[in-house]
Amino acid sequence: MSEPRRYRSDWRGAVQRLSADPRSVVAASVLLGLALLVAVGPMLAPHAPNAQLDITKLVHVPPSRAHLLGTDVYSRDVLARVLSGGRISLLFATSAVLVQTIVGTCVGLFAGLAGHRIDAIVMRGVDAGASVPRVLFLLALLAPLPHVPLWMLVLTVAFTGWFVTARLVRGEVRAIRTTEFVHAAHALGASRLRIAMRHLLPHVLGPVLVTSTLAVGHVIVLEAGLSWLGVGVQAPQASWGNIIADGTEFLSIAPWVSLAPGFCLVAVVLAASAFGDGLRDALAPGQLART
Amino acid sequence: MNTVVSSRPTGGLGDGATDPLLSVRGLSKTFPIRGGILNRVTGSVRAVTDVSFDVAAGETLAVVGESGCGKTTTGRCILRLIEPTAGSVTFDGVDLLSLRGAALRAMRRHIQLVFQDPYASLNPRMTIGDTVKEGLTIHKLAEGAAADRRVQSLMEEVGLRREWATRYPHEFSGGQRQRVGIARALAVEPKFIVLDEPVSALDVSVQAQVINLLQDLQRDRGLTYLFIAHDLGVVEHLATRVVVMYLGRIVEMATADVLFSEPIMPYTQALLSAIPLPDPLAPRDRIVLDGDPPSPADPPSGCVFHPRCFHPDKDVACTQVIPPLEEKGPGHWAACIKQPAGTSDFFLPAAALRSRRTAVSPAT
Repeated sequence: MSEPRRYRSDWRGAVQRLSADPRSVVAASVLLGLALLVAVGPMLAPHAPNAQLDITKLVHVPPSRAHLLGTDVYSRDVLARVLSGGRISLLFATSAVLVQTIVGTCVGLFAGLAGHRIDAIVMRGVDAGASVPRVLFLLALLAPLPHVPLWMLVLTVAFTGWFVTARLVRGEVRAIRTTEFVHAAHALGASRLRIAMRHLLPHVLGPVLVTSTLAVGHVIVLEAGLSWLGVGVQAPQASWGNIIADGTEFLSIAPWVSLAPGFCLVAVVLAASAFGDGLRDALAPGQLART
Repeated sequence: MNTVVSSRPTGGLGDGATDPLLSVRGLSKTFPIRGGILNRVTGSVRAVTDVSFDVAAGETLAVVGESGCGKTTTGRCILRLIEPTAGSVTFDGVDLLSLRGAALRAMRRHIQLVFQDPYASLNPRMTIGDTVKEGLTIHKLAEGAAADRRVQSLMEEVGLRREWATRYPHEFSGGQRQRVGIARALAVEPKFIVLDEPVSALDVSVQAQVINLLQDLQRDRGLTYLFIAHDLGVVEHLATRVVVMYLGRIVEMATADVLFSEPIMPYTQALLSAIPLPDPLAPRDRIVLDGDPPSPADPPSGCVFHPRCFHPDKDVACTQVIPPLEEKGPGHWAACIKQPAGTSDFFLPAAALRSRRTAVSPAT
């Protein structure tokens, strides 16, 4: 204890607190388990996700030993499709949310630290962007294009999703930048960049992570809506969203088609938000009031 | 506007013995009042008006006054945390207000600040070791294990245990947090520290400990303090000289001994009579001022104190003439047109002050 030692950083402390919180551990296990499942599952699945096994005899087969999650209206194995679609959905959602979070945080930090005039101009732009319904916005951007590659779809979805994060970060920065510990850093001679990275960012990261984990669920659902409108992930490539959308037509005769990916979706959204909550608490020592 | 003080050729506003370490001349800060949908400037608050003083190396200059009198703004202007509207601040021969960018950040090392609120002034997400270390990193004073050793010796110097470096601010009491704030300021080896009411938020018993720590550090490190306070008992114990501010202006300035025994200004006299006495049975005559301090957005004409002044010679001139800060006795400055210079006949050597002098107990 008495010899010099490296001080434990806040993040390492946060990981320790996180692993001591059962809720976060369960949530992280669910997320990791599902991620692992969709990563290796398609290789182990007995059927190809897009294979129409027997369009006359194997349509809407209920869950059985041969087809654990049943088959859909084109006699495709639902389990294989859920595993393959999960890959696309999780990858799509996490990458879109990652991009929109980074863009929103940067814009929010910039506006929050800028002077009144620049802040006002940037934030009115953000308000304008946020005021357009997202699906409408996406349709306007995507509909004119003949074929949209997946990465472009991700960027477009992210482009319409960063406004809320920007507004959140900007508000937090505005509130924190007048606190005395920021003045103290300023008085010590810290540069603006240092104050932003060391003193402001750690404080906004908690709420940003919480919104981002919630956004993951939202983007999966959004992608489903886009697929249904014909501008999302294109058939026959499965995604959780378009499996649910396709299955809703036959909900009364083959509920298993929508239920399986729906359950996965709910599990991801719940686990992600529980994990986000735990992360927020772990990042804010001494401020354990839960909202 | 009166520029009597700022137009004075040189010095004179310090203790007169040495070249001042810090020299403030004609410092003013006006905050705009914004209103309406277009955020137009609809008025202004004169937080600090034409403030001039010197601080000699090694002394403690106390700035006292009630809430809103501009004492904190004055301190923040010196630190360039607030940009003054007018005036000059010279530190060790350098014009602080002309510095920009990297030169300003480098200069900040020499002038540090200790805050009033030990809770808001520490980043809750940084260990106190990281907080103390930040200045070392910014100014590249030490790195790696050397920096950690430096942090530990600083912590011990301010009376904290070295193994507490890995803890977070919420694990500490107010007094301990204030020690962390002091260690943070000391890390960059400043010559000058602005103490912005450093003990006002602490328990009385803890106040004495922190005051003693500040005195020890001043002695050991040859520090110069600008001590902003409203607790005159603490000021009398700590200060070499005292500046009294009212509504953004300096109304009186003298050595602590002179100010506490022979205050000239009616405002200072009222302030001194308000010091709480530890003995509830001690006789005292409190001077109770009428009304509240006027709004700095709409200050009174002439002498800003005239609506509440009880000087027997107060007349219409007081409402018209802005009293210049004049040297009424050796090193004793006051802004009052009714008090002739060179007088030793203070108009109100009140029983209030005598009783206070006998009962005063230094905060130890």
